[in-house]
Amino acid sequence: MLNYILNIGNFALIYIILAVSSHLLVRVANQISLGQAAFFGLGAYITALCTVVLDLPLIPSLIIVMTINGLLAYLIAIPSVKLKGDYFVIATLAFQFIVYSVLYNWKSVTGGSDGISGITFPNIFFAKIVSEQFVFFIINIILTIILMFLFFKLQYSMFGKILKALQDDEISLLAVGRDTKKFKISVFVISSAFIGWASYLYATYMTYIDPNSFNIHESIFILIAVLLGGTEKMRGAVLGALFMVLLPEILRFIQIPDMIAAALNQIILGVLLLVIVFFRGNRMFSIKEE
Amino acid sequence: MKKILEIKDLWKNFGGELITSTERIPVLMGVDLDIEENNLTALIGGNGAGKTTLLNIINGFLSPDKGKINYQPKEKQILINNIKPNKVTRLGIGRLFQGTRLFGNLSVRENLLIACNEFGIEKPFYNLYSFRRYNEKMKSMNNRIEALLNKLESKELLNSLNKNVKTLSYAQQRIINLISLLLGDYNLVLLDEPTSGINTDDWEIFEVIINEMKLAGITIFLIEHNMEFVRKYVQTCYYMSSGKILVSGNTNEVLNHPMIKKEYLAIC
Amino acid sequence: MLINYLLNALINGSIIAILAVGFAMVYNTTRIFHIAYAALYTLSGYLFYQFFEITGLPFVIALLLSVLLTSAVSLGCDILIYRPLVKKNMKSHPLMIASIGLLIIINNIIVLIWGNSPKIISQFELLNIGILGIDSNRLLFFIFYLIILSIMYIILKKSHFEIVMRSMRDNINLTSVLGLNVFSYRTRIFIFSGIIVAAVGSLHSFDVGVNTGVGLPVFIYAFIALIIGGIGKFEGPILGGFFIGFLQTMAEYFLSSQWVVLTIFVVLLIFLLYLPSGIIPEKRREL
Repeated sequence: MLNYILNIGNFALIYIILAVSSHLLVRVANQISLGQAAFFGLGAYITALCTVVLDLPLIPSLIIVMTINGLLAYLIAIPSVKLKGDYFVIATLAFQFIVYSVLYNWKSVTGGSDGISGITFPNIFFAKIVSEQFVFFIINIILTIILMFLFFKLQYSMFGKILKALQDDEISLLAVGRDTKKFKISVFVISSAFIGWASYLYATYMTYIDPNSFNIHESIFILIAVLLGGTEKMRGAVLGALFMVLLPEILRFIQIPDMIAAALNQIILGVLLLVIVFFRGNRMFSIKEE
Repeated sequence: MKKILEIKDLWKNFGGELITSTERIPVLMGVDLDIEENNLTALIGGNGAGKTTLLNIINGFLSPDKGKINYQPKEKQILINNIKPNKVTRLGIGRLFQGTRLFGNLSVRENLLIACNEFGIEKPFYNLYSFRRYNEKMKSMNNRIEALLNKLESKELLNSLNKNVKTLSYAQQRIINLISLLLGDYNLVLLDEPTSGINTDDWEIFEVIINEMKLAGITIFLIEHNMEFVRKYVQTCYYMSSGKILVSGNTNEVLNHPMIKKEYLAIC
Repeated sequence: MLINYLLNALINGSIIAILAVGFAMVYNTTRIFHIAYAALYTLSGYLFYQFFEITGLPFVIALLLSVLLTSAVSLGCDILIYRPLVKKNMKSHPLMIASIGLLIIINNIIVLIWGNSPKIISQFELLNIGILGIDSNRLLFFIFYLIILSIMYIILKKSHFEIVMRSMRDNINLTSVLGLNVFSYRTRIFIFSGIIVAAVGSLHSFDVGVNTGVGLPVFIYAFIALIIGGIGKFEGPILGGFFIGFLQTMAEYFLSSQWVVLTIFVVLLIFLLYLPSGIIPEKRREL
């Protein structure tokens, strides 16, 4: 029983990291991205490299994952932030499909659809005393809390205020001397870099990864988690992530047969999306009512 | 007197790549304009004359097809023909747009904090890795804002600092726009119809703000339709019609010019 | 063998071209990123399967029923979801999210009704001619697709739809003030685009079968075709569609089927960054 709860807990924390990282991009900077799963997946494969091949401890691995994710995000962002609204979304979609395609097809490096197994969590000495899953959970909580603290501080600093202003009136922001392009790129880079934390935890937890966990449906899943929370405040993303992870368990608990549980789960999410759009619509994206 | 901005033979046509050259519409045709330092210079003229376009070009939102803009703050001389708007601002040129443009999802205080132009503390995570300096700057910005509002005796703004900026009246929002120009570190400010929509009761604070700008050594260049205001405060006038400067000089001379009296003031 | 590939390129190209036009009808006018369109494609495939394979109705009847029901659902998307949101003055982001919601709902209702496993329709030869390694059914469908494409093109051009489309996109309020019944146009748009997507979806389902994953890739190709071809005139998506068809097939011929997706998306990115208005750009007044 305890293991079951720890398992849910671990997934919940991983998705909280995904949601909080994406929250900055989607809710504060107002850019919809359908490419978050690509960074999630990329980070996971880099984690595999760090642990399986290089056998590095926790912190250096995290740094490497963050750096590579961030670098790639930077390269993608530079041309993409010039694109308006829908076109930016398509660019992120294109990125998502390209990364998935590479992960799936570059068999020699990524193992293709076979995936990579044997990704283990670096040795922590007190793993001998308590169950390994419990140790993982503690580290997971610590990392999640640190991340939430960082993003909280970011959102409510002058940087965060500029991001909010950017949503509202980009021209005025240019007129007060801010390089709006730089800010848009920064958000994208920060968001993608920290998704790497979730990648690391996911890969070392599952010990096995394959491209199917990082496809467009996963990107939509992450987006929904951020949007379901409903508000611009970070706690919205946390609640959204929790809900996404718990919903399938609730359905299982009330004994909906597995066959229809998955589909029903999705339908509930779809309906909730519609409900949110109906009731919070433009306010979800701080769009000016003209 | 020293000139802070010299516009020489400026031309601007509208028309994108997809429109043939026969469809290009000339908006500015050979504009020459000088702005003297610490002076109040006004650009007057009918609607559609090209005045706002000129401001947009100085600011960097548009680039001229031909001509030069020389910016001369302090001892330097800089050509600002093709510079992005955020860089132009950083050189010390501020802008007030037509109507009110504020950050509607932020509070009054937050709008003014941004106006303080403390670019250095806006780096991501600066408030963590450099928290002491960040907190100092935040404190000094807030002090500056409150000191200025007290000096201008703007009780209403002082009381609404933490309210969302959209809850304020049009006049108050306009005043926030003007006060913002005092908070950033500007040498020259470009104002697009600052008094439009403001009735004479609120002029007092405008007067105070303009005086503050003069004291701070800020040169003011404005577009105005309000002739009472122009007569009272402006030293030099340029009259623009259909993209050309037709008359320029001392305000009294210009406003008493027969052509202007006939074509423009009659409508005013 | 190259001829075989080229013919396939044409056939695939025509499918994508038709779908791109169908999507363009909605996107160009209403500015809605109607990603639920993908689910309609999937739905039509399953409906055709249901009527033809399970219920055993004749080919044409099954096709008509599938088209009818799919356009009804398409119209439903607009009347039940999009229009109320537009009335509430929702802008493009929330509308896109709503469409994603619809996509998820429709796709999963399909799973609830028909289950997760792919469906195949038992084949029969509609006509007995095989040409150059392409079976006669496909060839027949290709002719059908070309007919659909031509009819659509003629209708759209003759009805001055492009002009209405541009005016609806640029200024919807002005359009209604000028007396054009915007909502009546919307109804026609959604029905028509539903018909298009269902015709192709059903035939394709007969051709290769259907599963829950067919909609999204095909939709994405249609959208890419629209971007590459250009928004504004209907020549754009048609050209874009054939371009993608050729790109797809040529990538398969010269590289291998693995790298098709990558190639197409890389080309898309190049277009987005360097030629965002597409091959046939729309003339817009910049003022």
